[in-house]
Amino acid sequence: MPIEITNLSHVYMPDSPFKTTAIHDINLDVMQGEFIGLIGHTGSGKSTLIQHMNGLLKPTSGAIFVDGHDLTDKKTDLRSIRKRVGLVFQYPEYQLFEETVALDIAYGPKNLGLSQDEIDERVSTAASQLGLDEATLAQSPFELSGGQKRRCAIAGVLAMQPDVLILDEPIAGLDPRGREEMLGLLTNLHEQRGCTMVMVSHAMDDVARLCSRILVMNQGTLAMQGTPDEVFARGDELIQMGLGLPEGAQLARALRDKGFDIPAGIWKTQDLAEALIKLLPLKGGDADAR
Amino acid sequence: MLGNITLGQFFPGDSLIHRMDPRAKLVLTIALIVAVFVAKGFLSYAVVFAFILMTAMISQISLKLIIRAIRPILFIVALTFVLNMFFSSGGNVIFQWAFMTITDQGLQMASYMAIRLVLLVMGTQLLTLTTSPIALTDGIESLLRPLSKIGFPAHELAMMMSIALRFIPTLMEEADKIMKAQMARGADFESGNLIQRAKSMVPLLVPLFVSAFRRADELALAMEARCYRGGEHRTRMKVLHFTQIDLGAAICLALLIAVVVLLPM
Repeated sequence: MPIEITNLSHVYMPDSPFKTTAIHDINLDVMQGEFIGLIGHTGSGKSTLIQHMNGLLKPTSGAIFVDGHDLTDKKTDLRSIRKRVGLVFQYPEYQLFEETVALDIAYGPKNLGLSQDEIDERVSTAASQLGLDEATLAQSPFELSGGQKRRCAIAGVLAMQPDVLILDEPIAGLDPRGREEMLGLLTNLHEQRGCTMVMVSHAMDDVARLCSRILVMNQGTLAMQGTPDEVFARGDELIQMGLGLPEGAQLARALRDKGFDIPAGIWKTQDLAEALIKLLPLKGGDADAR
Repeated sequence: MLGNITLGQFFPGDSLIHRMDPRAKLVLTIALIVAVFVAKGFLSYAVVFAFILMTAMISQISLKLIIRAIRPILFIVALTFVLNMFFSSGGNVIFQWAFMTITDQGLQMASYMAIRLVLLVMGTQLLTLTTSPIALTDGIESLLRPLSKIGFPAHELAMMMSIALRFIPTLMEEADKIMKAQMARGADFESGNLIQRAKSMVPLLVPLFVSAFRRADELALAMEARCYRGGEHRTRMKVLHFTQIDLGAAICLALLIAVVVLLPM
């Protein structure tokens, strides 16, 4: 199991008037090859949680194991953990600093102490995985477009060749086309490289479409977890937490409120369409007649 | 990592000290600094120290915080002590080795200097801990306003200060985030010799500067969009008023200075 979290709590600035409990008593296992969606209101503790997964934050109490290594143990080599668990922060393009895209992507592998050949090889692999061509590699990262900058930054993490890739809102602030491309790239990484993925996102439709398991955080605790079917069946609770629903689920709720007999638990647009067709007073009542 | 810096941080509260007029606090802090330098002899330092402790108690700020603020300057205090110890002359020699001599007067001078530094930081620390940066710059602007008659840019200076102060936490947060992002890419900011460490700062400083410039640009645009034209004819939402608390505090400080001056060496 790549990541095991038990009774994790984190308190920011403990002995001061600004003391805040960011996350409280989280229990969570991340399985090999999963694509997890992490959703939650702003300030619900998502970012704090993911920063524990590669040892950037130390828990106030509780334990985290990555491939069996205890992250709270002082003897654990955190750099080797960070090689296994790649973390892409929100707006990662703000961390670019090198003269060329290639050098920036090479920063991570260089820190791992790899040979120059290995570094070059990893840079070109990561760049091609994110669709950055040779010409782009020679450019300054500050000359790129927003979407390209972000891909460059993600390539920088991917060049570490992590087994688990955690992304904090990878599509925030991108235009619709950039978002589509980014989601396509992430799906490819998951399917072809077999990366275990954890994606923090506010875009319910994307989470619903991509993820095999959804975690819902609310006020620092893990409020729900399960498959998209299980989580979106509890739409009322999600709305109470200030979260949205996928389009299909929203429409189903609206129709139900108007008195239409839509079965509970429907959130896929396709399922909703079929349910509606069944309701239509078609001749013979045959759904295939459309 | 960067979250532990208390020097210059504001702790909100509603104590008598918090409610003082920032102008009064500024002037009285300067008076306190004067008191620290006028004080000669351990007894008067003890009086000043007691005064600072009392003020801290009234302001309901934990002593731990004030003591923690001294930690970053401990090195400077130690350095001042050592330098003064070796380089002041006069008095009876108590220790001599090669070119180094320590005299009793030198030792006394050195301890005075170290104590003064600590008291200085503790005293001024009280000002920043109990006064919000905005109130502080309002106070400075108001105190400097008479100087604008002779062309001194009081408002501009205050505005620059409040913007600078306003962005310290933002930039700290940003620095922390970039640092973490680079650490996630295997960066190591803590080991290696001085040159290696300085080099390892590049991946932190370049993005930090880029973002500082971006923010400056955005802020300038936002201010212009709201027709900011400098200090002429601007009114304030919070008008500063002297109250009886300020008068009381001023009397306390006057007494302190009197005591310190009158106390024997």
